[in-house]
Amino acid sequence: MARIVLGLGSSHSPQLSTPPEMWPLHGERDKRNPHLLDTDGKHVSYDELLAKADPALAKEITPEKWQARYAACQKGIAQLAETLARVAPDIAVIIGDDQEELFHEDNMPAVLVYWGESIANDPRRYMESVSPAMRAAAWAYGEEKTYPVVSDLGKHLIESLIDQGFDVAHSRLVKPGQGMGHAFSFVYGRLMNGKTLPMVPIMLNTYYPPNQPTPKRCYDLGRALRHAIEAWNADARVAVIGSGGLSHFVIDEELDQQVIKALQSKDAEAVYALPRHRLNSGTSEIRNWIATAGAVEHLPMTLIDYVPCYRSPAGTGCAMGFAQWC
Amino acid sequence: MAEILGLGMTHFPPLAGRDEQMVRILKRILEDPALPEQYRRPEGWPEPMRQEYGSDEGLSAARRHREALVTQFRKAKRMLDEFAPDFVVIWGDDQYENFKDDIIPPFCVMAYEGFEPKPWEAYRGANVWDEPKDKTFIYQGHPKAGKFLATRLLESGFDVSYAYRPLHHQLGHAFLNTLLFLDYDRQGLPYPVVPFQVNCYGRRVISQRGGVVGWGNLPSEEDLDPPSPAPWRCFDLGAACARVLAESPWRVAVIASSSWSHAFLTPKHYLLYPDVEADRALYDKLRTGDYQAWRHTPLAAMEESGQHELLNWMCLVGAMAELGRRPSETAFIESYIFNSNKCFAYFRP
Repeated sequence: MARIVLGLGSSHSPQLSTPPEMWPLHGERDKRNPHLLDTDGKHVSYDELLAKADPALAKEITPEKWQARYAACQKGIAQLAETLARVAPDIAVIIGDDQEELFHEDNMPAVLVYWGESIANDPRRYMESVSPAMRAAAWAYGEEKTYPVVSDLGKHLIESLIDQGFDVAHSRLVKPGQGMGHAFSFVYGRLMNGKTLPMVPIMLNTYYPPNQPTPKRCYDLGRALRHAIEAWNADARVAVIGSGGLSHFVIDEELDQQVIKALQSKDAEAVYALPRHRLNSGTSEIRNWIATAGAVEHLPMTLIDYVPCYRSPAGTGCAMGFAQWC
Repeated sequence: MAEILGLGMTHFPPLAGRDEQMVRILKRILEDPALPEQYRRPEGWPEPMRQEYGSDEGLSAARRHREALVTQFRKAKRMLDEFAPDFVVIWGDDQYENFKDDIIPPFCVMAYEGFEPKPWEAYRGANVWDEPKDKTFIYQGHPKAGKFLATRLLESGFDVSYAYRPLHHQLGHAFLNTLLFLDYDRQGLPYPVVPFQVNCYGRRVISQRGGVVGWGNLPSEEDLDPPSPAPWRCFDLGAACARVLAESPWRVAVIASSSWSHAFLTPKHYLLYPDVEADRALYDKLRTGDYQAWRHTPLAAMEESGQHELLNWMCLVGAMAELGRRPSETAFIESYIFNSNKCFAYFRP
């Protein structure tokens, strides 16, 4: 039977793959970002954030801090890549969110398993009008190619999750001109050292109300996923990879620490109690970590690093997390 | 204050056509050269099927079938008008219409602003109302209610999909036919609609495109798709819908729309006629309020009996069980030659 031998959690923000001297440009983008939420989960403008920001944040956005944090992030990514290469699983089950890359308002699934034979990657191509910071990070999201999917496992997961009471949407086709979301392509672009591990993509609608799964549902889904993988009649070693998070585009270190503590201590009740109203916008991707943690509950979690990468005096940025379960 | 009316009905496509065409699904099955010779003629059929087919290839039976169905639709419309809902929720299936290989949701709440279908644009043959090809029907949606329902279901542990606009198709026939038939006399149907898709076709939604294929073209076991939600899950979802709607500020009519056992989904009958016995058994349990027997019906048994679409009714029965309702009235309309048995059920508040 199959078994889960590894779990990984990684942020996938473009900021990770942008030289630190360009981070201020990401900060500039935040001035027009309509998805800024304060720590109460309320929509706010950049100017409102700035007006309330702690002046001490100025110390977080110096070139020296950016350089150090960039280096820490690269070290975190390298560690994940090294672990993945060392453990050498046969299959990666990747849990990520789809940011209207494949799924839109004409059908937004809460939970979806892709079970086609393969899935295309459509690398990011930016026009000149797009921020140079975004263009500089495009390299991190895989090649223009078709990646292999373990269709049998995908179908098995759908069947098993349905048996376990999860209402799983499924897909086996990506329309021409479309490709998998950046949550998935990042794993190929940055964590696999050029290798092409076959995968099963699992998409959670972390972002778009009204059907974002609750933290409880995500953790329970992870547990059910483990049960499903372990019931798969194949001698396969499987890695489960959660892609995204942690808090962004307004960094919420308190929430991140609450999440990390709950996941590290495998405290399901604490996970269930995570505040849903603060799990929106980019921060919503913490759900991918929660589901991953549920799937690898049997393995000890090591936090490789937590790097709050502030990029503006308003406190915007992305808090990067890197963790492994093995 | 919330009030809920429960209704069960059918969206039987041939009712929209002429009586002469009502037996067309059977005829299509009979034309399949792969069908064993002995089943291609009435001599090889069960006696009730032969009688229904008669000497006029089912034309007299079609008139009776239409009369029976339309009588029930008029009754349902009267009840709906008396109740005057703020909106109508319809549990219906999607037969490879709006949802295809790129995504098959288990459940999808369609929180649309409205719908403007043209049912006859691609319709083959004449419709029974003689309406022109470009006839457009306009129905209001109820986005607020749809979002409310999806949100509360998520909080109740159901991973429903949502949609604010169509994907591949304006409105699947399970929903559209229900609306067309409810207003059979074309007096108007002014109630906003929240279609609620249930993936009833499961293993056959892509592999069989949720429709009729001949005996020789049935997909093999390995070609089948992942399954539909389990009957108990649909039942529980219906119950959750009832709880959520009962706490809402609205008057809501919840409608399950589908025929029961389908001949073209019943290989054990060579796709010729539905599983009448299995339907009778469930009908008895519906009338007597033995809802737990419904909930515990295995998916495999339903699929073997061609009762795939009954998952829509499973939602309704779950909702009525939650509300402690027994049907105030029911009707079971058997047919061997018109592809399916039909049931109507009325659950007054």
